[in-house]
Amino acid sequence: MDREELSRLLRQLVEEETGDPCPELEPEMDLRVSLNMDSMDLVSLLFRIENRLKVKLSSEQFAEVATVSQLLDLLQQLTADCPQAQAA
Amino acid sequence: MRLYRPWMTPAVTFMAAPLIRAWLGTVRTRVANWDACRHPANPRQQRFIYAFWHESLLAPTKIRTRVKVLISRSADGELIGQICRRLGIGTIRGSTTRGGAQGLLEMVRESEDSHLAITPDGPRGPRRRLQPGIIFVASHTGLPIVPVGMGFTRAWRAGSWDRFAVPCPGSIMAGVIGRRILVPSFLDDVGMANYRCRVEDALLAATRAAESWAAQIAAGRSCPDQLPEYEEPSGLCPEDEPCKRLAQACHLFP
Repeated sequence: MDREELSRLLRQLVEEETGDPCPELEPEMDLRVSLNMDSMDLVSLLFRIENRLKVKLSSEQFAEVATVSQLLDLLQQLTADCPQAQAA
Repeated sequence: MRLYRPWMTPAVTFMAAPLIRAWLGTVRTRVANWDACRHPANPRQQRFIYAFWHESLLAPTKIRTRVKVLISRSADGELIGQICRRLGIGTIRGSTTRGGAQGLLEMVRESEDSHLAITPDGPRGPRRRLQPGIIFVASHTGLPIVPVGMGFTRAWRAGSWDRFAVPCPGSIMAGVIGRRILVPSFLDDVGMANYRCRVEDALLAATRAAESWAAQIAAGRSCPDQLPEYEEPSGLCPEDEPCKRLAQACHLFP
């Protein structure tokens, strides 16, 4: 998946998680502040991402993610390493 | 004036851990288990999430089973975490504030070899007000929450938000293990709020029972081996199981 597709998917999953319309994602958006997500929302979002893309993020990787751009970088890297994710 | 500085942590830990161990060695523990069944010391048989208030953070040091405690990622949390590890208690770093998401994720995913212990009003309070993180962990792991109330015959109380309890040497720490609560998966916000209230009520009830028991022991009105009255909060008992049960001798504590 390219970055554009990942960004669209992320926006869709954020909407599923929060139940609210998600604004257009900007790279420097802070996941907590801009998307109004607390710790539990973030972990639930992570599970949704893992289920959809068939990838697994470690807690250390997850701890490094604060912005949309950082999350997309990580997902791009993981999906590139995982053929199953490419097909998802 | 703040006396403690983060660079002091290794030295403070080095001195504090054996001191705490020796100190708590003089404290006797009595536990009444009002849960329906035994709590295996080996977490591989069955795992639980033990919930107790932040002020009773010393209680797990008396538990003879493998637990991991959620500790805040703050500087104070680093100190507490290092002391816990020296006392043989596993730690997971995170909270509902600093590093919360990482702590929750580790609790859900990477603690398959131990029970979990959570102080659900930590790390900043309000005191005895349950934050929803424990409900989230229980919902995603399927592990039952076991409320544990603690009371002390004599204890010093810190001036901190939680009025942290340090039992006096030679005192008795009374614990009441309330009935386990199973939290369903895939809870919505309303379900989360309902279970937050139910677990908070259960933990408050266990704490009241433990404090009342400790007060009776201190006043000489109750023998330490006499079990306390525990009034279970309504709504927690399935219809097919009576609320009044015989308390069991607990093997979790010495």
